[in-house]
Amino acid sequence: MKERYNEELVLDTARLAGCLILENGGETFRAEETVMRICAAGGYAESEVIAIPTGIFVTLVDGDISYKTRVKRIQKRWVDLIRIDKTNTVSRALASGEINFEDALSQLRELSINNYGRFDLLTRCLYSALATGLFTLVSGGGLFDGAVAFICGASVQLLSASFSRINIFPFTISLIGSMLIAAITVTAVTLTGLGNIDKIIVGAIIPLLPGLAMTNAIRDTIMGDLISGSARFTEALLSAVGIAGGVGIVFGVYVGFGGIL
Amino acid sequence: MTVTELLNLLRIFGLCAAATLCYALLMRIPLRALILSAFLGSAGYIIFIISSNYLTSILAAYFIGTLFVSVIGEIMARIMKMPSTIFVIPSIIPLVPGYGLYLTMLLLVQNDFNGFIKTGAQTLFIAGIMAAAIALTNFVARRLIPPGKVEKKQF
Repeated sequence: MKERYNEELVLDTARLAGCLILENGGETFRAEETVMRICAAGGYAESEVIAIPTGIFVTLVDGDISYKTRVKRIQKRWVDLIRIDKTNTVSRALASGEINFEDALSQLRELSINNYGRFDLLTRCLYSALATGLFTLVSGGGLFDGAVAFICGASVQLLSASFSRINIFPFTISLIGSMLIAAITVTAVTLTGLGNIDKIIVGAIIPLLPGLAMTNAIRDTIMGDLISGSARFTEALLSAVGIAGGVGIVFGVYVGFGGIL
Repeated sequence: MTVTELLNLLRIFGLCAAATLCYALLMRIPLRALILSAFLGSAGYIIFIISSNYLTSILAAYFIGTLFVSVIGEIMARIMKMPSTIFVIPSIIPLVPGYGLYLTMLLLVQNDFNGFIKTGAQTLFIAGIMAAAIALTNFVARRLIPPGKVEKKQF
């Protein structure tokens, strides 16, 4: 029998680790696995955890004597791979006994507060713009197409940054973002008479595409996490519908005003 | 394959690697995985292009491209002791069917409902088959080499 650590300490650590993984784009089974690993390291192998994309429940079972539960609602979800990696490292170190629970908890707290040099808005705009511009070139666009996609990428990042402050539903970001992209593209191509609308848009919508949600949805479903799978599938579908709808609305208006696609 | 085709593939490889690099930075990938996943994404896309030239089914080409990315991603994850998500998520981005989504919408606006249904269904199938390739690799990899030693209990 392993030495048992303080229940509260183990619970807090496990909950925080699971929460970090779910918030930053990790899969549900990865969150559950990490929580189980941490609980087992604390000497509570008979614990239970349920993780869904919108929350996590952890219960520690201490023999037949007591049950203790923590619930945490996941409010925001985004992609932050560095945090998943660091949480993973902490949980592995904990399981192999390299660090104790006090250190692990303080490291995880640090992780949830510290931004590890989270890029400022300008840097994010630059990366997003470069990515969209280059993807347009990859899909066969010319230099002009790349330049327009560059502008689209930066504007979408600005838009989603300004919306993230008021905590808006991601579907709206997809919808408005793709409307913005289509509007910029159509205006630029019509005014200058250069470029291909399709090449620009294909590159520019890349940051909005629900690639992560889609893959996680199927992964979760195959691993048997049906609730998470359906939730993420809905997320991916809504996002795709938002993008397609946004582009469609602008195109509809453009065609209505006599534009030719 | 002619020299021009080869040069064109090389150009796409370079552009695609740079594009994936920027996208991975946007997702805040850990720096030690950055270069690897950029090249992985680019290599997956090149494999997709080559196999789509030789195969009659575009779905099979997507499957092969994604399978390559996820298999190498799982291997890298085991070697570098990082979650495989970190390699796979940025690297499949060049393969995500953005053009299909765009075309679906374009056809709808142009009142071409047959084309809309056809392209829409194909886009959905592509997304499904990519996810299936990732899930398959992930499932097999976890059976062969479980990541970390997890004390599993019987549920």
